[in-house]
Amino acid sequence: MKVLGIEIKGREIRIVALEDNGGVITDVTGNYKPMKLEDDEIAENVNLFKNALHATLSNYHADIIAIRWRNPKPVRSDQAEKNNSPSPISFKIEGLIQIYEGSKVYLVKPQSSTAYVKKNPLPLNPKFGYQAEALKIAYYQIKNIK
Amino acid sequence: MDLTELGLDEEVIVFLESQTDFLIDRISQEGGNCDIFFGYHEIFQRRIALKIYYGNEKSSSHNEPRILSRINHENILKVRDAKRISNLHSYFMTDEISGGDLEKFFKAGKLNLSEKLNIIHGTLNGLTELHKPSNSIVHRDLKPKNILIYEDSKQPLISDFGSIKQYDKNIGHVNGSKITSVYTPKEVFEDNFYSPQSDIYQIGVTMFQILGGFFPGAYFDWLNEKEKIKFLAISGPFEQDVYLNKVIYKRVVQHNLLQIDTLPKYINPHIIKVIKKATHPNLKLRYENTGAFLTDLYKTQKKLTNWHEDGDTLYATKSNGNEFRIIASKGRFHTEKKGNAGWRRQGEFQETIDSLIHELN
Repeated sequence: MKVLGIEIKGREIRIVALEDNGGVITDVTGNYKPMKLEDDEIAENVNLFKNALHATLSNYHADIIAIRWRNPKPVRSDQAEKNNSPSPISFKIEGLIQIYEGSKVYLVKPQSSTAYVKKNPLPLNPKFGYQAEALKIAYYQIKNIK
Repeated sequence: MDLTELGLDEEVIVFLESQTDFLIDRISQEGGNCDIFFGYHEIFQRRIALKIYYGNEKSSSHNEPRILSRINHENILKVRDAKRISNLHSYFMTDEISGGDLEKFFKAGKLNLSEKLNIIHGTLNGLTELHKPSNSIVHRDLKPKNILIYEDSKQPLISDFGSIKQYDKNIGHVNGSKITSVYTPKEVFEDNFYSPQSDIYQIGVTMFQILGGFFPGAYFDWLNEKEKIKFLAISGPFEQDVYLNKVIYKRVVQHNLLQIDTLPKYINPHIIKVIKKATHPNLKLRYENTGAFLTDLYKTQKKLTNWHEDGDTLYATKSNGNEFRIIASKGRFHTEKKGNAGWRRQGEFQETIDSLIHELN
């Protein structure tokens, strides 16, 4: 079983790939470097980006892709999660991931993954600091497959 | 069309003459194991290509239509029909692709820089489909001649699946094929080892070739003067072939088969970096997969200054639509910008073209 955890941060896609072999979880992300959707006002660019993204997802051949959910509404100051409002570009990217047909695609609320990881500490560390959120999402998803 | 003068077997002639809905008007006999007949199909109401190939029931020749028929992708040639004609002859039918093969197409000067990169992009897209674990297919003979192009849309289609092989996805590689040696990666020369990364190498070579790098058709022309003298002193075609392969192998290993400085000056450093990475002899430094290749290619494609050549004049279109041209006159160069009143000189005359290209890139 292979799961991709994805965090969309602004224009950037951060991916962590985890594989479960009989309960042993390994990081199989490899050399992936975050991709960025730039100049998205040009339709041709979005299309080229989609092809590169889908090829990347296809190369991983994951069973499940879990995307970190972002609140589409503005964040209130009294909310526990003090994230800034997500960028509209990130929703465009989210749509491009959702139309990928090679794997099941789910959205995972960060509250769920954070709470799960608190109770069940991660057995591995992210290779790079920026992968921390994507790793949590991937780990939560791989451990909670129904 | 008189089919009797083409050296075809009798049963093939009988079969072709019995076709009442297919009006043949062109034939290609360039393939080693096949002949391709082109013409108008009255039922499909479109032009088609009928490839008649040779091989018995157990032959691997059937792999090509078999695999093509189960893949449905916009960048892979589709099979419309397949049938056995006799014990030794079969055919499969595809659309005739309007632009023909990429080699003839780019040599005719029909493509600008943006279109060339789009073709590489589309070809990689098709390759992603072949490499995905449910297919696990390596093409093993990717080169401009085996990529077809639609004349209007410039959409590429991977074709000629005569060398394809399916690999065990847990092993990830197969043996190399007897492919054209200038497209042969180091791992095939050294270990007869062919993986999806070897297909990536071939796309990198193809990219270098169509972007205008030094790529002679005759193998002899790849040799330097010293090597040519040595080659001519060798007697026997087999021995000469061995020598040629040795020279090509040496260049591939040393990563200098493709002379990057022969690319047109407007090919920017980012594109060059992509070619070098795609054709790197070290598998750890070559693109790991089509996704990584496409991601870097996409970075060069967005906001690209599009160039095309017309005689001695270079034309550039910036991503904002502004058009420029660089003109050579009396040994010097200058840039002109297109405005409402036509072309107008911009900036000073320069002794070399490099700085003018750099400004527009």
